[in-house]
Order: sequence, then structure tokens, then C-alpha cells
Amino acid sequence: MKKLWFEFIKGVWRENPIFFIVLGLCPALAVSISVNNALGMGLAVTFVLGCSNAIISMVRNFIPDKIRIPCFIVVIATFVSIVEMVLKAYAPALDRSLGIFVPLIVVNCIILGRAEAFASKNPFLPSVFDGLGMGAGFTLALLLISFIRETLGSGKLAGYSISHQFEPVLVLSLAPGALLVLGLLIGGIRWIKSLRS
Amino acid sequence: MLKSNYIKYAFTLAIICLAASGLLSVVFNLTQPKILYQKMLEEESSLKDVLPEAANFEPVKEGQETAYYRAADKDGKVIGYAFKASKKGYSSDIATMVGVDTEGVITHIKVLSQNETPGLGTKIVEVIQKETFWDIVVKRVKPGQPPAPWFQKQFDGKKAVALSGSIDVITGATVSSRAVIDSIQDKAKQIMEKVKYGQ
Repeated sequence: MKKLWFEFIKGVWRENPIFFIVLGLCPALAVSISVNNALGMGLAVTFVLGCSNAIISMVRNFIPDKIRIPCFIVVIATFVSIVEMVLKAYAPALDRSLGIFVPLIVVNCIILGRAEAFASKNPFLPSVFDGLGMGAGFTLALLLISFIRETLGSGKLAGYSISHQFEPVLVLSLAPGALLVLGLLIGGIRWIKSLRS
Repeated sequence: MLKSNYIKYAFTLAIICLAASGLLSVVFNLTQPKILYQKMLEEESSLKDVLPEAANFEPVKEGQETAYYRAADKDGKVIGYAFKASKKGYSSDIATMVGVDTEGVITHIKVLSQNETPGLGTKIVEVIQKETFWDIVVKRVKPGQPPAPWFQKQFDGKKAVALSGSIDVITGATVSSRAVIDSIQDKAKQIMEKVKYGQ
């Protein structure tokens, strides 16, 4: 049990996919305009990561080494298609605001990265927890970035304005702002980590 | 030995693909009716938004496509028309649903989809909510019905075929604003022409 918890928590902090592994930044930068989008995207990625890690660790002994990448891609693409259809059917507003970035989860490096680096070498339960932990870390990182960008960049939080007096810093909700916020966050978080060790 | 390996590879991949497509077809069949229903609901609610007085919308087909909707009140009297207009804005196609009365005066418009620059072009759909985030979380104020987007509200009561000059363009979002205005004006000219000749 303790070991499973360890696999989970390492994705949240020590091996956070955004801040320490630095993978899957493209959707993270694009979607982190609002907290709502970030949460939706984070949950979608967590679902795909958990499911794909589970399936891949189950079939890892049957898949020949030479064709493992196409096999992983098929598994990942299947779950992404499922997420896309479910979103369209039950959360059309979220689907519209996430747009192209839901189908693009297929090529999100974190998912293929975890399949290759962890799920293809480890048994079922640790792989599931690894996937969920990485997903949770991704979601938390996205929430942090989007919180900063939404409050400062458009003066809103979860779609409601914070104060009518505040004039937002527009650049933060544009693409350069995403890079600035992410860069400063990565630097800051690594600095905190270096202080602690 | 080499040959048998290739067959094994193809076979493994084929099995995985088969399982994946089986799962997908199940999910597809479960969600497809719901997706179509959502699309229909969206279309219906946008028609109701632009022509709230109408009780019934009858699509007027032109080939396969719906050219516009004829809106009738409870007694079946035609009280206006609704149509979709779209044009390229700054970074995306902006699609708008427009409601006009029989004289061609706009009742309401509603931007259906856009993907403009956040903070600039997206002002075409901006809603200024009276309650702030703090009011809702700290003071426990129930958020009221969001008001209509202020940019789109300007169109109410204007003549659809002669919009130029009567709408204030948004600062920093000239291209997006003009795309909405021009698309409505151009489409309205076509539609009113068709309505006049009873097509």
C-alpha cells in the first residue's frame, strides 16, 4: 500500500510532468487560459493516462518489443476517442472551449512517455497509480498556471470577474504570457526544491 | 525464423486494433444519439434566443442546406426570419445566429462560435456580470442571470441590411467586430432578397 502511494505522490511533486519532467507543454500552455479549461483538460489527461497505463501494463508481456510504439499509440488513441465522444455528448460547452486539444491528447508526450518508461516495465497496480499520479500532477500544474493567468491576465476566476476596478494585464492571457508564467513557475519551484534538499 | 516473427507482429497489432475498434464502436453507439440531441438542442436554443417571441421555426431548405428559418407565432403568422451568418475574423471563423422581423429589423443576434484572441477579439462575446467572484464565494450572493453580451446588444433594433456606421466597433478588436457586422449585413441582403421573391 505504501509503495502504491509512493508511485502516486511522485507524479504530483518529485517527478511532476510539467515542472520536473517538462513534458506535454503544448496543451498545458494553450489550455491554461482559464481555470475551467485547465480542470477539464487535466481530468481528461488523467483518465487517459490511468486507462492507458492499466491496459499497457496488462498486455506488456504479449507485445513484442519491436512493435511496442504502434501498440501503445493504438491503446492511447482509443481512450482519447472515448473521452472526446463522452465530452461531446455530456459536456458540449467544455468540448467547444478545449477544441482541438482534446484529440491532440493522443500525441501528448506524458502519456506515451509513461507508457514507455513505466507501464511497459511494471505490474498492473503500480502502473495505474503512476498514471493517476502523473495525471494529478499535470492537473495541479495546469490549475496553478491557469489560476495566475486568469486572475492577472483577464481579471477573472472561474469566469467571474474578481474586481471591477482591476485592469487586467492582457499579455498574460496571450501565448507569450503562458511561456513567461510557466518559465517563472518552473524556476521558482526548482528553487524551492533546492532549498529543501 | 524472421518470417514467422513478422507474422507474429502483424497478428499482435491486428488483435489490439480489433479490440480497440470493438470498444470504440460500443462507445460510439452509446454516445452518438446524445451528441446529435445536444446539437439539435443548441440550434433550437439559439433560435429561441434571437427571436424570443416566435413559437415555431420552419427551416427553409435550399437543396440539402437550410438557407434560413421562417419564424411564426402561436397563430401561425410569420413574424420574422432567422439565419446563420459567418465570416473570417482575426484568427477564426465567427458564426452568428441572427433574428430579424418581417421588416428586416434585427431582434437579437447571438455569436455561436468563435476562437478569437483572448482579451481582444473575444470581447464580441464578453458579458459583464454584476456579481464578482468574491460576492459569490464570500458574501454568498446567488449569481443572477448573465446579461446579454454588450457588443451584441448594440445590434438590437438596427436595420440588418444597413449596419455600417450604426454599430460601435470594439477598441483593439476592429477585425473581429467588422467580421460580425459585415457577415450579418451581407447575409441579410441575400436573405431579404429571397424572402421578397418568396423563395
